[in-house]
Amino acid sequence: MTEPDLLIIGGGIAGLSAAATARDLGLSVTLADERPAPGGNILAGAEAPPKGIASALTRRGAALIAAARAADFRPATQALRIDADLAVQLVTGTGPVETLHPKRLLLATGAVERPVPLPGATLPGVMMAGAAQLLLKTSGALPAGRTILAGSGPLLLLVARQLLAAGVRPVALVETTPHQSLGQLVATLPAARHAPGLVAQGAGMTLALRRAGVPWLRQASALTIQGTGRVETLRFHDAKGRAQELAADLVLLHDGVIPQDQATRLLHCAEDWHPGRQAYEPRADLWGETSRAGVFVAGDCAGVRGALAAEQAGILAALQIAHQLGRIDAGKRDALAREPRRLLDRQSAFRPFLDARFPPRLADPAGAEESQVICRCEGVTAGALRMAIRQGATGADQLKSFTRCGMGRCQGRSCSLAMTRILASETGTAMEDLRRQGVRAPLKPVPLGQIAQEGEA
Amino acid sequence: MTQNIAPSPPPLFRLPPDRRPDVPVLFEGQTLLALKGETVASLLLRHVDAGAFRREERRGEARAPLCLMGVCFDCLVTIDGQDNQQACLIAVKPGMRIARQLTAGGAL
Amino acid sequence: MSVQDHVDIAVIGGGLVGAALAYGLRRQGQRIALFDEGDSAFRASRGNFGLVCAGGKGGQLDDYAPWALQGVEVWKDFGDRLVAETGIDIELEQNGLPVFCPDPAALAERVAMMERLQRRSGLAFEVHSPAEIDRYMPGVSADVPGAVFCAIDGAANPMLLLRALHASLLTGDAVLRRDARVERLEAVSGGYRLVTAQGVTRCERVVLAAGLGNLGLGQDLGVTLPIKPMRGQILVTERCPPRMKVPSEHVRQTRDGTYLLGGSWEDVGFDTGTTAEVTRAIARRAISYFPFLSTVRLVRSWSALRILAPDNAPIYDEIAPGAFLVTCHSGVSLAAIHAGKVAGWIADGALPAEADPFRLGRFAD
Ligand SMILES: Cc1cc2nc3c(=O)[nH]c(=O)nc-3n(C[C@H](O)[C@H](O)[C@H](O)COP(=O)(O)OP(=O)(O)OC[C@H]3O[C@@H](n4cnc5c(N)ncnc54)[C@H](O)[C@@H]3O)c2cc1C
Ligand code: FES
Repeated sequence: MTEPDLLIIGGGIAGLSAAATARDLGLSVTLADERPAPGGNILAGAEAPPKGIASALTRRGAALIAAARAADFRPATQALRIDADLAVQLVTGTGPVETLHPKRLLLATGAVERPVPLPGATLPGVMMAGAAQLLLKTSGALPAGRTILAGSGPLLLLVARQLLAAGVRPVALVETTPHQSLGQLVATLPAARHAPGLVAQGAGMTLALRRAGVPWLRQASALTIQGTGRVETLRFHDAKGRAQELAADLVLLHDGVIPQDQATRLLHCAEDWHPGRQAYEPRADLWGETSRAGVFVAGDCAGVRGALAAEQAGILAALQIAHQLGRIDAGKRDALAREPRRLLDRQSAFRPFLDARFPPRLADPAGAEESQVICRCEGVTAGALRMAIRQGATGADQLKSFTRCGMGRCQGRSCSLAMTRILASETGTAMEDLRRQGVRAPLKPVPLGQIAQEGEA
Repeated sequence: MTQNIAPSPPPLFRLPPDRRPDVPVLFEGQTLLALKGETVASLLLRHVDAGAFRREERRGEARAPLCLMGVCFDCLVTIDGQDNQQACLIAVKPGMRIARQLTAGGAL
Repeated sequence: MSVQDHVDIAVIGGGLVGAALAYGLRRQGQRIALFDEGDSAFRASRGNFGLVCAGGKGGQLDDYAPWALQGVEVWKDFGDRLVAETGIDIELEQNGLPVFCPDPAALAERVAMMERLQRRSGLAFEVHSPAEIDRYMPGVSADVPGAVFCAIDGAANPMLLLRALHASLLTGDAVLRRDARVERLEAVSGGYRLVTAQGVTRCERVVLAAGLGNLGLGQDLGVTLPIKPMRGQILVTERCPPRMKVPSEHVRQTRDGTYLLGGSWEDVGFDTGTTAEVTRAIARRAISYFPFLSTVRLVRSWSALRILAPDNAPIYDEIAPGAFLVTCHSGVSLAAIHAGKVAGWIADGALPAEADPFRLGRFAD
């Protein structure tokens, strides 16, 4: 039986920094990530970053990754099921299932981009902006044709700038971010004060885009994507409400990011609706321990606060785990936690500024047309969901079983939040009062043969 | 109803000149060169029209990778004979055999 | 909010049993109210395999054999009518169903039981070799000793069946109380009082069709019921191209193309979790019957609680004047006869002699 002190699921910056701290304190650590290389989103490709991406953070990240590679790091490894006694089934590639019995479990599964149920969003040629960024970071690949960036959020602007730096000039930047009055911006200033560097970074980004002369259409709404078999045009209404149409080969969408929470939901960890971030987040104490004793969360999967916060949250979780396992006393834990906590608090204080500046706007499922596909896997439309709700599916699980929304291969990853939003608006229930669709094992589809093999000689 | 994957406008992505792919893989009988360590999705996005790797099995609609982080399942391909693998999570290996899944319902 | 209303008949439980009875009572012209719990309830109706089958039923209670057969015989008419009324295709198919036996001894035992049931009910069956099975379930392993096949059996989509029954209740004067767990059931003069968080309902007759919830409701009326939960875990795979022409007891391909794999029998109380061990065992058995399944991906697993009487047969009784108890394990197989005959009995206000073998009295000693 394999019994590491700590099993970490997710090798992004949170998981990597937790692993480094835990190992420094003498814990045995296994780190699993479903991707073929460590680094998660922010540190993807950090071992050999393309020009224009390298920074102090990627250099720190490269060191963390080197440390992880020296430990029990398992790439291409998926957590399939997690039982209440912390038995965790892992599967690597096409190999058999293996069960680990760690003393503590840290979920550091990061964030995913908020799904955007827009007309035409299933067409080839539509991609998330973060996906294009990952390609750029990991292989240096660049969009080859006419490219439009559309939506809202700091990442959208960042990707635009990174593409420009790499020599790709987007056809347009179509921003759905609403106009903010002076009053609104002043109200968020106390938050911005905490991280003046980040505000300046944002301003620098804006300037670079302006200088490059990329058409920048703000306060756009009613986006739809047209094409036969692939993207041909993006249509939208501009700030004045006029219909616009732009031809494109690639439309990169972004509407912010939300926690990747399949694992915490599988474990029935308590969660809360965060109205500022428009997302459900697992409830955790100051060290990241969830309502399930022994199960910790760190980084964006605990609530999106960004890479620098994730790095510190990983350290804090590792400190508490080392303390719980008797490696350090409370005094040492608290001393070691002082600086990480200061940095984390600073990042967290800045967050409300970003949340207020970039509310999700691209595709509100509650207002979706009847024909809008909500569940990409099973082709379930907003209209079909509303009809099933009228026929008695007033809970998320009942709605899933009546319509198959969330029953496809992605296991609800792309539709669960949108479906909950529709349920809330149709039944007049607040998001915080809704019980969400349950998550069932396995956490990823896996061939039956690989499950059957476990424990066979 | 199946809709056609449009013939040949160029693939969605390209490599800058300083990147030299040198890992040979077999894509539907044809040898392609990949970058060491890149994912199958990353490679195919430079070679497949509109990035359409598959048709979904209900209506045969063409689908292409959306998220590149394991969420959407629209990047499924057949690798070394095993169907429905997430191309965005699997790194290329020399000699790997890769195929799109263009019949509605996969290759079973 | 407080609701005060009055109906002829209150049906407690909106699962397959309660919804089928409510549907049938409506057809009999009764004014009904249906009470159902919220999303977190123990729902056997949502977690089951969807088989419509008579084969094997009655092993421990002889009279159940002809009753189950009748239930399957009237299914098509019931299904056709429901589809016509609601426009919801419940995916009924009755093209036969094989029950696989893992070894020759199990096959011999199954055949002996089916012969006994056949003498009682006349239910026809055949024993099929792997070559015969392969014609309707291609890809079956040649190592399977054989299967017992009943041509009248089949399957429906249990979730769409439940949805259609609920949809049918939306039209007309039925009162639907969702998210309304009946906290207390009280006998009062001239009928019953049901107390929910939303208010109070008065009715002349009440139907206890709340699955395992009947345990508490029976208690309210001073009756201890001999039913208990029996967990079944089910695995479901990704969609695959259509292959199977019929379902079998442990492996079935649905209309969507997914495979459902079942079914464990676990006496673990009210725990609706799944376990790695049973998942593995179900996967292994399915692969041993159909080796091609080893490359098919598992997408989801879940469990549901069967509602089991000691002899696995349904219970129909009037446990207090005007208080009818209907509980069973096979809510899909018996949906048609519940909506028909049993709803008729309750509408008439008395159980006929035909119901006698299914009364609680049979567990008396
Ligand atoms: C597309 C995208 C682009 C971003 N770009 C920027 C940026 O440019 N600048 C910036 O400041 N912030 C950016 N952010 C935010 C930043 O990436 C995060 O704040 C930071 O990466 C959080 O670190 P993490 O360790 O919590 O998560 P991540 O870095 O996301 O790492 C999580 C890891 O967990 C793995 N994983 C998830 N589930 C499982 C499982 N079940 N089994 C095994 N492994 C699993 C994933 O493969 C991943 O490697 C971006 C976010 C996204 C989504
Ligand atoms: S591209 Fe979304 S799962 Fe691979």
